[in-house]
Amino acid sequence: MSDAKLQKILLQSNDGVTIDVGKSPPLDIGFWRTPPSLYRAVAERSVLIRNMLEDLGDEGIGNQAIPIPNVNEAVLKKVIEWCDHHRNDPVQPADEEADTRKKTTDIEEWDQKFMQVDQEMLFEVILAANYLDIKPLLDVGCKTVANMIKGKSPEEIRKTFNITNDFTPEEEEHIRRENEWAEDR
Amino acid sequence: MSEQTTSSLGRQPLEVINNIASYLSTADICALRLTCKAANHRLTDFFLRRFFRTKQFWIDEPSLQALIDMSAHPTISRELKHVALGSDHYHLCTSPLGTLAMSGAQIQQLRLRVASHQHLQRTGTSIAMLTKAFANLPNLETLSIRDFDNSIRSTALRKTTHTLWSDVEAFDSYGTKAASRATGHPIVTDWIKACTLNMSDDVNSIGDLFTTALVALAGAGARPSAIEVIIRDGRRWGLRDKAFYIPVYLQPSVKPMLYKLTKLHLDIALGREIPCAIHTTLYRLGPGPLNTSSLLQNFLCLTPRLTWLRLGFDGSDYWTTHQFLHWLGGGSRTKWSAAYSAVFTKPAKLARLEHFEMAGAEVTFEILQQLILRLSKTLRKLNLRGVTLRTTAHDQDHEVNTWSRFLIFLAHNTDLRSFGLWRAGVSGGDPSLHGGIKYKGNMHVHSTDNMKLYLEDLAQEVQDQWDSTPGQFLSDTDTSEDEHGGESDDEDEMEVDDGEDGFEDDGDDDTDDDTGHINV
Repeated sequence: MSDAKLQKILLQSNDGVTIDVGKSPPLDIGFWRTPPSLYRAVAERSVLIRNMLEDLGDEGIGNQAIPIPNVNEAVLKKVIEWCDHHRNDPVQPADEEADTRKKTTDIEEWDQKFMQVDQEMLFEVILAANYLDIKPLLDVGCKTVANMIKGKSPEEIRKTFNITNDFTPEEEEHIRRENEWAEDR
Repeated sequence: MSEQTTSSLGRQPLEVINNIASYLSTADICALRLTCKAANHRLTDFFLRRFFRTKQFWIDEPSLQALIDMSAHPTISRELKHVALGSDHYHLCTSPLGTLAMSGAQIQQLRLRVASHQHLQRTGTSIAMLTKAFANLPNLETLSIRDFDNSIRSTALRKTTHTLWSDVEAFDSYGTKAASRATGHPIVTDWIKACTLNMSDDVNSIGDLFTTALVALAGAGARPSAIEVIIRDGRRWGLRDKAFYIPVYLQPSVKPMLYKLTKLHLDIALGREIPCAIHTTLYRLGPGPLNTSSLLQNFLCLTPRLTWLRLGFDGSDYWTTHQFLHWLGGGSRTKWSAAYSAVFTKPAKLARLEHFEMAGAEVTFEILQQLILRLSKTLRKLNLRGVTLRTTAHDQDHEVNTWSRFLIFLAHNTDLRSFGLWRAGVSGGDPSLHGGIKYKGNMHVHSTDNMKLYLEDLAQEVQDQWDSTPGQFLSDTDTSEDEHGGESDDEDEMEVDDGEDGFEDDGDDDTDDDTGHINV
């Protein structure tokens, strides 16, 4: 009887590199190696891949690499690193309630370190997490960006993210007024 | 534009931007909107939804003017679905010390603002301003009136009424912070402070707010689906019967609006106004010859499409509540004693009512039974909060289990999908004969497909707990299972604890004691 959990999972980045979920760098350090039974748990942090695996079935997967057309090798490896670390996390219940209330930005230590990358990489990881549907990773990424915005003036935010102000004074005034209504002074 | 998209932040899809924004404070979001056109554009939906879907205002010129300005704004006016009016008012402090703490300029400001506040209400300017605003809010769904703001934390809320506060989001009334800064004075929402301002024996600015809102909505041709009057301090104030007065000249505009209502939440204080209050004291042994809730009855006759109704009776006296519920249950006047000559309107047809909630009422088994029977055809959700069943004299040998009887009745005569019971009580119509009920497990809202079985089981478990201490509610606070999510449940459990003190207090002062009328 073939155990589906033992199957390796191959992902192909948009730059054509095939990555073995079980052989990405952090899983292969030193004497410790991820047992094959966990490949699937790692890959299935992504709802997109999980659904794909379900649709294809065990036979369907075979040794084919799953193409991930929106993500390059470096980012994909980074994402797999996160998935590996969090492979045993309980699956979050899907609360698709469009909640606009303010949430906490606390990030656990490992994730904080994980997110200490240049801005380009940070946003690439967020985009990948969004595409691959890895909600907890997306949240960590968004929290990291939120923490970069918090408490800053518009000018400081522009500097942080390399944004050019393209408002006319009138437009700016208009927004300020709406802001005033939102802030309730 | 192309320059903007080179920013990595600007390249993020909308859902990511919304996700990021959900972690930001109001000030942060406002700052982010000011960075560039792209950011502002992408934040628009989030900004509108978070800050303008629901907005609370108060009877104050800058606040109402802001509402008018928002209603003139092309996108905000379409987003505003829920307008709340807070009972905020200036707390005129009467102590010399408090006045000393204010600067001359602040005192001057306060005088001006209080004058303006009174002018707005007394000249109908507040109605005119609200009408102007409502006319420009095409998507207005809910109008609510509240005697609390965001500063009221659940601890205080829990103590006072039977509202499920976890379901109610609190907001500050727009402009109160600025007003408070200008005058160096707190802006308050509660009853006790309103007294000092109005210096009236019949304080009822909740009723004034209700009338103001109603007339403005009608005048603007607004068609909200819900009106809510949510009162925190329900034992002290609420809607009097007279608040439901609709003069003939207003009927053509009010009637079509009320006809469209599907949800109504009213916290009422019936039988408390002069001369009714005096009248009812003379008839403490039964309903008097007056119909003391006739205006409310007329009002409810104009809302036939309600699917959701909550009535909070915290501030109402026993016989008025009794009389009103008898009417709501379709009772006719023939049931009353010969001396009873009150003119009743035809019973309201609540032929679509699916959700009924009753709070803070003491009612006889028969009246409640009759009411539920009348609603049973469409009723699917029933919540009873702080409802006390009054039993007849010969039941008080403690042999008859009142709530069990009621639950069995529910099991066999209704088709409920959801049932909730909190702080149920029993009463013998005498302060010395009071009690709660005892049950195992958790009595919060319970939803099931087999409600009959659930109710029958519950009937087995429930036991009247008569106790000689007036108003002592006994509840088994077993929280082992939890239908409602931890937080809200905690609140409710707390409420049970707080209840004992609260109730005893009320027995002492003369503001309200539904159960203290009979002195045998």
